[in-house]
Amino acid sequence: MRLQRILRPAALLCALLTLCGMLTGCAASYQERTAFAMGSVLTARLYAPKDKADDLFGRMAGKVEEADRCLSANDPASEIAAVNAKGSANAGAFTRKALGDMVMLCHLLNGTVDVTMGAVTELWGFATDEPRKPDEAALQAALATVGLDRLLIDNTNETIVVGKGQKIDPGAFGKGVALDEIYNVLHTASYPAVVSFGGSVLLFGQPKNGKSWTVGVRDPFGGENDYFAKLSFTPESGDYAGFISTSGSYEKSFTQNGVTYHHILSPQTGCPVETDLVSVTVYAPGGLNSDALSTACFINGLNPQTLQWLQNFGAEAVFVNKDKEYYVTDGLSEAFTLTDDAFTPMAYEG
Amino acid sequence: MKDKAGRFLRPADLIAVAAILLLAGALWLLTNSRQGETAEIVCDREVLYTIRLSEVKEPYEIRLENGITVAVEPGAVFFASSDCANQLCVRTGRLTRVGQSAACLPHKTLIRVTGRDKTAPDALTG
Repeated sequence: MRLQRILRPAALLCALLTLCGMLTGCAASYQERTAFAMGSVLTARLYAPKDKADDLFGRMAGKVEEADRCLSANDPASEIAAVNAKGSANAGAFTRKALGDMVMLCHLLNGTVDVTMGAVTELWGFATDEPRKPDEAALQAALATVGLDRLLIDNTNETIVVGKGQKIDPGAFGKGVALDEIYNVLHTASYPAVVSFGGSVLLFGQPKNGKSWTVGVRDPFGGENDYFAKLSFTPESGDYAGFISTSGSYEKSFTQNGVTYHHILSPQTGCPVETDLVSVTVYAPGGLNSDALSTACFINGLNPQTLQWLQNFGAEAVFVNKDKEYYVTDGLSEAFTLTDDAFTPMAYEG
Repeated sequence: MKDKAGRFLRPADLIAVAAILLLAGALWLLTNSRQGETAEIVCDREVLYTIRLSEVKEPYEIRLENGITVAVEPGAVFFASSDCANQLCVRTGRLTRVGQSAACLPHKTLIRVTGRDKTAPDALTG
């Protein structure tokens, strides 16, 4: 009788709990928001209540638009565009700081990426609808303007000055800068989030129920939505932030007289870098670092110096070559899962 | 007369428990089918259309004001045409699985497939 008194409510409670579980389990656990900025799609999955998600996303998109207004080489109204047009122009604190960070990275990566390549990238026109192989003389003239030593960031007079004919192209860094800004917004709240910005990804905080974040790595030989491997991360704390960025020759290319030209230009030759690699994906603790490193690693190739860079930045990488072979750095081997058997490991003895 | 209080559970209780569990099961089935692939058409920041792809019986087209036509088929969605210069959106092709998306940047338009799929990654890099 006493047993019955306990069992009855217990059974009913169990059943009710199952019901509740079903109800809560089916509610969408995140809010998805999309905006268009910097010529890319910005998408955020925010694991937050609707009003918080709206507020956070509004601030995130605002930061990206602000970064674009400062740094865009294609928007004639931006501060960088003004510098490029006039050779010298006023620039606010954000632009000067961001450009300084980019210059420092270019130095640290031995000039493998160069933010003063603007005149060269403009000639190729990859940012336009009509990219073309430049005339050799014009290319050499543009290449002569490239060099960090001719760039001056003048904090006293709040101006940026470039060398004669020199142009700044923040292309390899802009999305990274924007993702760092987005991180700063997310850090003011403590809601987990996954942010995608034009192929770069920011993972923030801990996923619910001890789950992992998973990121598909684009299949360089497939379509826009195809991936050949997954990276899984199980953060130890709510303070976690991981930035993933990919540079691939498949992103932008054109064919002229039977030759295919891709958009990743070498600052040494001013031409698309010749390499066996088709993509490099970098996982790093910072957005700008991840963005710049993926380009630098692609240009420099898989070699001890590239691996040293990654190590110095606390970064890891996945390299893919034209023979569908991949190389994963040691620190990422546990996170990496191959999902397409057509890819095989690369024979590289680091 | 039997002493009902002597049993662990009365038949009425069993029925109640069974009813609640049945309800839970039905809800689970219902929500899971509802969570099947859903196509979303986003313009600028606004979700203009939400389409349950499993409920699409006949193919049809949605003409947007910005010159884009989105095709909807049973289980698939794609950019049928756009008056943009690069046509990247049209070339992306059919979207059928959760997590897939295609964008027309000149027109600030995105289509994507959302829903529950444990195998789908949270994001794509590339």
